[in-house]
Amino acid sequence: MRGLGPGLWERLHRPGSALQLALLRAALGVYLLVLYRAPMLGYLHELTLPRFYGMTWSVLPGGFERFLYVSAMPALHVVGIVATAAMAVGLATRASTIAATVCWVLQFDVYYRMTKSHVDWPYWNVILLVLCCAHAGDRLSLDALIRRRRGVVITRNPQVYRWPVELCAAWIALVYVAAALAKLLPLRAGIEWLGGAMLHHVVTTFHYDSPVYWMTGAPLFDYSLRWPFCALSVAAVLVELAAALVLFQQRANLAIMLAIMTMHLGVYLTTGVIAFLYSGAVCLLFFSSPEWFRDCPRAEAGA
Amino acid sequence: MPWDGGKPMPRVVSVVVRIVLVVNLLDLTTSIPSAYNHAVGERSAAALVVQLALAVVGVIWIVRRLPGWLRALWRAPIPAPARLILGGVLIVQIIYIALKIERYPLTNVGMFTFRITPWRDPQVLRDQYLYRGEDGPQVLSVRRFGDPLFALGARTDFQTALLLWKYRRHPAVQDEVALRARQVGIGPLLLAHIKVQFDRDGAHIVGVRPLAPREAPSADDDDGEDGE
Repeated sequence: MRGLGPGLWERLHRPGSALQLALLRAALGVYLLVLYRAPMLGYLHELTLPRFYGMTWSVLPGGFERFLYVSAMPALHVVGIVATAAMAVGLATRASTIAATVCWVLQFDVYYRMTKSHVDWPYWNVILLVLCCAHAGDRLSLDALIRRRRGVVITRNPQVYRWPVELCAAWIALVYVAAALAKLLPLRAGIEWLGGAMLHHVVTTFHYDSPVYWMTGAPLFDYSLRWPFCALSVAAVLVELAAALVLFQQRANLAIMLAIMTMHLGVYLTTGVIAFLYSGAVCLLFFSSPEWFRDCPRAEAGA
Repeated sequence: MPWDGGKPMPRVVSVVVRIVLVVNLLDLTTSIPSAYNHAVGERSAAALVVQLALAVVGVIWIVRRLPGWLRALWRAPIPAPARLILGGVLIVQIIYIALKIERYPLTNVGMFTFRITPWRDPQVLRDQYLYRGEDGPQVLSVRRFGDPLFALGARTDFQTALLLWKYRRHPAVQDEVALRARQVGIGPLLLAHIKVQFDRDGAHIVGVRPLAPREAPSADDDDGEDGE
């Protein structure tokens, strides 16, 4: 792995780029605002279902969730938009990021519990938490502008900008590795999964919801065959497991993420599930190298 | 990990042994049935005894290594509060993965691992909106309303489109879908449980059972799918 660059542990000790961290904070903020623009949370509230129906599980108490669904959703939505916008432009960055995180986590509790939809929280809940702990407002922010006007100069060790980016990338990798492990374990279930039955089930049940059908009016291939689903299942698990390599090297990271994006593209074309393409595109940004940014000090030779 | 009278084990063998120990442990822990975990495989008594014996070795290895791992986590060049919070999240996440727990705000990321009857038959059952087309009944995909490239009429977002699908039996949702369908010249609609046959010639609807509206969602509407 030596030829492929340093592993995660070594990268954590290297200097980072304030500009990169700020860009990631702003990009994630803008993406979350786009999601907030969607009417789904308001629509879910408007449906006024006779009871709060949880299709899944949460650590939040049921009574609190009912309060969120019945009473707090509209206010939480507005506060969430304001806090996320402040986070994106870097106004009171730490406080606004914490507020944006709390609003996001609470709202997606309701959405996830009532739809069983995993988009987008498995990625962003923890990444937002990392940003809460980071100095993400030192560049590209109103905070920095105000400080400059006041003549306040902040000097930090450039390493403080590195660990948040590396942890976010490692988290994204962990999400994909966990997805592979969930498919493979227990081993008997994993062997069944690799046989392609689940992929066959998903592709056939989503057939009429797929771009392939919308474009051609027909399946991509003969869906009564088993071997293509077996081959695609093995390929999908291998690509997800490859995400673990992010911990041990650096140069192949973008290639790994592009392979994952290709998998998401295939899922979109055959099932219509597009959300992971959006999330994956934002995740790609977290795999950019700090050394690409001009404010990142060069690592010493041999380091 | 010493072997052969203290001579160090070759690195490759050592790595393989560790992987086998961890996979064996995970195979056992993910086999514990729970409300979250249905993917439990049966095993023979002999296999269980072997696995449990290997698990003891695995647990001893982990317990001996754990202090070192925690010290390494503590030495990470991350501010102490962040280290505590994010280290805690990491440990909980590992427990979620090991026990296949799905409990918001964390997950074992077990999408598309719900229980199915594998290769049941080439016929697939699915709730869909149907309308009368020139060549017989046609399917109107609600999810298409949220697609950025192929949306019919006024596009909504993919999450709202998923909501329209998940709550398809709610009267307000059916009104919304009917309105959107009328706007693109489609209607009237029939929500039905359809049976689809796949073969070399493509997909064929071979059975249709109409579904009545219902305000309260129920377990029947949760078809196990993860959606998006």
